[in-house]
Amino acid sequence: MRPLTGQETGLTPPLCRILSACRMFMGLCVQYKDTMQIILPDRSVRTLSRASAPIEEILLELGINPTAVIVVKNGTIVPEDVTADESDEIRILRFSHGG
Amino acid sequence: MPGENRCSLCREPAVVRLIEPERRLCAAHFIEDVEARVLAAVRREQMVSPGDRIAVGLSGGKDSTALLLLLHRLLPSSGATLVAVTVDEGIAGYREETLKAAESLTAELGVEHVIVTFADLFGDDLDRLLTGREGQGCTVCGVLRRRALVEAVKRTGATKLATGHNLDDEAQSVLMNVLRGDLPHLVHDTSTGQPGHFVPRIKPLSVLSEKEIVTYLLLRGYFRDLPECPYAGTALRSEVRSMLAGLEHRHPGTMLRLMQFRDGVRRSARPTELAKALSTCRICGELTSGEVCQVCRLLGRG
Repeated sequence: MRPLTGQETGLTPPLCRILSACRMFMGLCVQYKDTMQIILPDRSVRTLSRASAPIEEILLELGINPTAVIVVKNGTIVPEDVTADESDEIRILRFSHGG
Repeated sequence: MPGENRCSLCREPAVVRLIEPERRLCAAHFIEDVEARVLAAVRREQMVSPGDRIAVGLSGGKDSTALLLLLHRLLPSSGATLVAVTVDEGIAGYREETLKAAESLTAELGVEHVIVTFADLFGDDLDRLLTGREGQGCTVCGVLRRRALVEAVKRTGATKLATGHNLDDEAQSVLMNVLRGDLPHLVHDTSTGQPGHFVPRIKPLSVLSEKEIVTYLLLRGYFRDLPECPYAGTALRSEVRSMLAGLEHRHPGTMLRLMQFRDGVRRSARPTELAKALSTCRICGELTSGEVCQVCRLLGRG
């Protein structure tokens, strides 16, 4: 994000720097607000830029068959047809075969 | 999501959505539901009689762990007793951990535990027996493991053997037998046993999907992420598994309908179909469809 200039804002340079920092912080907040964390079976983390989506839809997008995994949303097991919202943590558990 | 994700029975947050009948269940009601379905299957199929000594095939993996937990909870009322049997094939980097899990579970539940090893029964462990034919791992192990279980059951004096086959396993076997055109195996029913050779086998978990079993274990705090067998996934089964998982998602109930199909075929098949094909192995005396059984052939005894 480009820093603001005194010409654009009519403010002194220190105030421009403060305003730029605030703008960057707000930008990060907005970015975080619209993402959800998906912890995949191999424990890698995918961040999706989505405000809200049914978990089943997310799984299919990731090429995962919902019948072959268990979904844990914010620490609790849930059916795949529940919706994940922004800032939710979704953990996908794949069970190894055999046993 | 249609409506709220609440338990159909108590309105607590639901952990699963099940079909036939369509319902959502919270953790406590899902555990009850699983136990009721297994108990109903045990009673419907008359799997257990008073006085039975049930040997539970316990590998230490998820299915057999769930099987022992369920039977330990459900059987006391039926007048039967339990003994766990474990086969240690000798698979480095895999069996050690599952064996430890099996031992810790039987100790916790206070269940007698008998362990037999490939080394004792067949002279060597699986890793060495497979030298030069690693690609046949599942086939060789399957044949030897079945024989090892028979031997373990004899040692315990059990009247029945319970195995952890789940709905996914059973539906996959039906489809594999169809794809191979193997009618004798499709209609072969091991629940009756073979006097003098095999005790009857029971499969109480065949009414539960793999996913339901893992959910049950997670909710009861018994799920362990154990390593997968290094020889797994080389056979037709892994292709059938993926195919069926896709069908089950797009057409829920597919696996149950496959089992209904198999039961229908069994009812209409002539019972003499398989019996006439069996004789005894001239080397070890166990049942076989030829002159020498698969175990003796694999071990180079013939």
